[in-house]
Amino acid sequence: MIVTHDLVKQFQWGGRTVKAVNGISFDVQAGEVFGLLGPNGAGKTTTLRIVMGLLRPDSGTVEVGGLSPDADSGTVRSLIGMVSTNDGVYPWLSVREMLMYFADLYAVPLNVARQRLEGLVEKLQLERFIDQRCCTLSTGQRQRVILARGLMHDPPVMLLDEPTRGLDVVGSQTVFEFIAHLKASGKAVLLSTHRLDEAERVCDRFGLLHRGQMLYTGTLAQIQQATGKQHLTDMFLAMMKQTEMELGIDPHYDAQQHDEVRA
Amino acid sequence: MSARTFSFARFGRLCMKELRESLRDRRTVITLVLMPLLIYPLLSLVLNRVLLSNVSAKARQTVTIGMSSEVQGSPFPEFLLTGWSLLADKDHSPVFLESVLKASKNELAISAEEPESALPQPDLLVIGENISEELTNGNIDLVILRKLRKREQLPPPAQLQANQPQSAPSQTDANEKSPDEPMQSVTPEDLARKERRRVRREQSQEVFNALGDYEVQYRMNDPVSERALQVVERAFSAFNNATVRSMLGEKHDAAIRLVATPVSLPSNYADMLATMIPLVLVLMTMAGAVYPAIDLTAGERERGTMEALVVSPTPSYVLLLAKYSAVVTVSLLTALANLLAMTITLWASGMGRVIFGQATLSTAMVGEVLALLILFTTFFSALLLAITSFARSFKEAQAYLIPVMLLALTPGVLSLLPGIRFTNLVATIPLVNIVLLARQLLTDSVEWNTALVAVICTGIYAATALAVASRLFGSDASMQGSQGSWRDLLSRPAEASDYPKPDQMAMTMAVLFPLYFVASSVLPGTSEALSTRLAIAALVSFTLILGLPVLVSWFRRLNFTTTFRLYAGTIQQWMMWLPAVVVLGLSTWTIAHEVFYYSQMLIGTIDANRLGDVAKFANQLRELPLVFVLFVFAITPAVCEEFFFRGFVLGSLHRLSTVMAIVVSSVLFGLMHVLTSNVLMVERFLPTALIGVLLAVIALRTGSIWPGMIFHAIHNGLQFTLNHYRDVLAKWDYMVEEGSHLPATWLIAGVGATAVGLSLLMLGTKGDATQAAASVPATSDAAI
Repeated sequence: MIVTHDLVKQFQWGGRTVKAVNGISFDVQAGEVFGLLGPNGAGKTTTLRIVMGLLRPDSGTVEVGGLSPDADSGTVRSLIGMVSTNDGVYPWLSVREMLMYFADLYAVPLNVARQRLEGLVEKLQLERFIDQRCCTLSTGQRQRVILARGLMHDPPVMLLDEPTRGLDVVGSQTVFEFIAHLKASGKAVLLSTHRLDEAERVCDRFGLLHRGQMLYTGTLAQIQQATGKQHLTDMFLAMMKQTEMELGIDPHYDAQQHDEVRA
Repeated sequence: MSARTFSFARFGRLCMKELRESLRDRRTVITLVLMPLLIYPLLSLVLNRVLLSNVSAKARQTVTIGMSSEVQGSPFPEFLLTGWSLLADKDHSPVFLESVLKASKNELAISAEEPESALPQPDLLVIGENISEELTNGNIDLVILRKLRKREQLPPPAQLQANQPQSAPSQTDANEKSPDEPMQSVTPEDLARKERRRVRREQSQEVFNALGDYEVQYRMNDPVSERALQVVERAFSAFNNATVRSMLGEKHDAAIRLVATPVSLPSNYADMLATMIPLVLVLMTMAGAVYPAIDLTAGERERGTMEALVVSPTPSYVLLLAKYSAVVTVSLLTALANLLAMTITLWASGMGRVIFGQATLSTAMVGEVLALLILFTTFFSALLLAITSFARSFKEAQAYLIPVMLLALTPGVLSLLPGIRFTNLVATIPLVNIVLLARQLLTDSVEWNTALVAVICTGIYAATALAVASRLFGSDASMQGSQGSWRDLLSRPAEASDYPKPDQMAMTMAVLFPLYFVASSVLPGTSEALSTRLAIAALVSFTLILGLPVLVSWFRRLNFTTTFRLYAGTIQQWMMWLPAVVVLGLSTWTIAHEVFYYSQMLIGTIDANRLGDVAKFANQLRELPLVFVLFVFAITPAVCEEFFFRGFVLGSLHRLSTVMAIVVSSVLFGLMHVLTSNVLMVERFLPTALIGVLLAVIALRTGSIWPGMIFHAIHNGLQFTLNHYRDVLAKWDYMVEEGSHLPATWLIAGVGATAVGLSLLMLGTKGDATQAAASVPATSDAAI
């Protein structure tokens, strides 16, 4: 469903050119969860934004469902559902009003939207607060509303940008169940996270991203074989050390630079 | 149904969401409901203090007048009371011309024909010490003090006594015999007579002593104290009149007798209030729009809902339109609430009568003012959205809006100035035009021509602001991604690009328009000679219209060939281009002339003065060498305007659809010509914009600005050449008068030739644009 090839995106920052994404290629199939892993500033969010058509790559191509976001942005956008850490809710709208609003944004016919809402209410246990104003919700409830929002137009592709950040164990568990549900309903899921333990639990395949470059892609077993390490965390540390040594740069200093660009 | 197809039901629901969000927010409700409930009663309290204290002063039955004991002991108080009682007497009452005029000017509710008997009665009080304090703390309304200098030139007591006014107290026995009888033997009768004479002499001595100068102290700007002063002034005026009359003898009425007729003058007070009310309404409408505008744009970002919005397939201009409708609605609700609160306050406080001569606004007036507020809010809401769309947070939006609100206040306060007149030029100033038009509506003195200018201008501003807002709102996400800010708009990029971005164009425009407007109306005024003035105007054009975009392009590292469409074309191409543009250049002016004529009729600017000016100017031009005239009026605009409008502006719009790009560039082209002279030539907009459309089509079809430049030069040059050889042509009866229709044959020929030219253009330029594009090596492949 998602195919990217050799994406490059640069930003101007303080008179310097920073390569946020540098030659990234990967693909995500329907019914598959692909984990885009990397530390803060690795280029995860930039990649997601390019896939969504919010940013135009300096070079390289993206296809979602066989279409380029550049050529047919309307259709491509309606194929994608997006849930991000920074997502907010409308404090003065009720949960129902907000979800129906998003159905309208995606031009979902009213009756279909109502039906879908019923399904999501059940799936994500929204009954208790479906008619409450969003400003009264707890963090966990909010997160569930945001997850539901991403599905109001029933997109075949889901992009999740650090969906568990700031959530407790129960909240995270809801997200995992949600991802499992997405996978079961045959959606292509692109998950970006820096929580490697979580990724290990839910992802089918991984892309290890560092300093804008994709270092490894493959299943856990494939990467284990390639790196000789058992856990993602160990692999990551080893991998980062190696690149830093190759490039001769202090990793902390530069990660900060990237952070600023990303923020 | 695709999210890109427009459905009214869906758009309605999108608007409803924005409206719900705004109206449920208690901060909106505060401006919407509480402010009008508070502000008008408060305002009326303040105004009542000023206005109605005048009225209450008039209603007073007595005024307290303090006198020093010395004054009180003299006949002076009797004089005062006599004078006062004389006022009630029609025959003796003097007419106070000055006060009548003053009354009709300043003292609104009080009729100038106030009967003198309505004057309050003076209540006399002796004040020993601390006279000034008693006055300042309001225990007494007026103080009368004796001035020490006495009048020397008055007649001696005896003579005066004989001529005392009848009602003066010392005059009670004035009909008795003359005091100058010779003295005889002392009898009791004599004694009594002597005594009487002594008393009389003493009395006349007292009267004499009481005459002279007095000082009256009163509290300035205090209506009651001023009223007391009026009482004293009038009483003594009556007293003096009576005295003079009695000196001249009964048969003489008065030396001069005036009959004053009050003339109703526009009341300054009411005038100011009639302006202040719309100003307050406008300001409140603004206040009503501010909060929702910030909340629905910057607020979306702050809440983290913006990204989810812009990744949806609904185009950002639809989102913005929904937000715009919500802001306009809330702002209108605020306006309505204010209008209602104001109407009630005016009615309840009785000020309506004072200002409008009736208890409250008429329904028609309220309707008109409301229509005006709708117009205003369509403009102001768009402006607010344009500004707040830039902001990343509430705070930032507020920081942007404070200067805007202050800027908006300045013209608002300016419009309060009594001298300001609602001319056509003033009608183009946003906000001022609305306030002044509202004032005219309220005082029922609308000049419809000027009103139309104000309405049209405000509409144009609204559309412009909305277009800018729509673009800014759309660019939001990418700007966030690249940390774009205002600073980025001003920094020099590291890499070259092919076309200017729309915001660069907008900023160039924003600098160019006012500069050009000022320069082209001020600089030529520095010289008397027409040729010098024209040369300066041409220089201004080259410097600004050509120089500025070139400078910007250099600074932004734009590719000159693509930005300015400098493709030279091949000989084969020119074989097709040249005939097309020459035919068009020779023919389209006929259509432009007719459109111009109809625009003039529509706007009503065909008047003898204007035509006279045009004819005079045309005559002056004939005395200059044709080459020079053509350089100024044909070559200069052709070169400068083509570089700017068909190059820079059209280039910046290359991401829009072709039709939109043509429309936007032509509208800008038309607007520029409306603003070029110090007289606002609204009627030039339509013909110029039409020529702009043709020029844009030529540029887009050929991929080059050069053919358009030739067309432009021929189009302009032809009219000035015709003017130059006017006398020759007139002999052959081939001259068109300014401000009249073209002969039908000319028009038919013109339209026919234009059609031919257009066909030549469309047929002869197939694939030229692609060829032009291919001829230029792309500077960068990612011109976002």
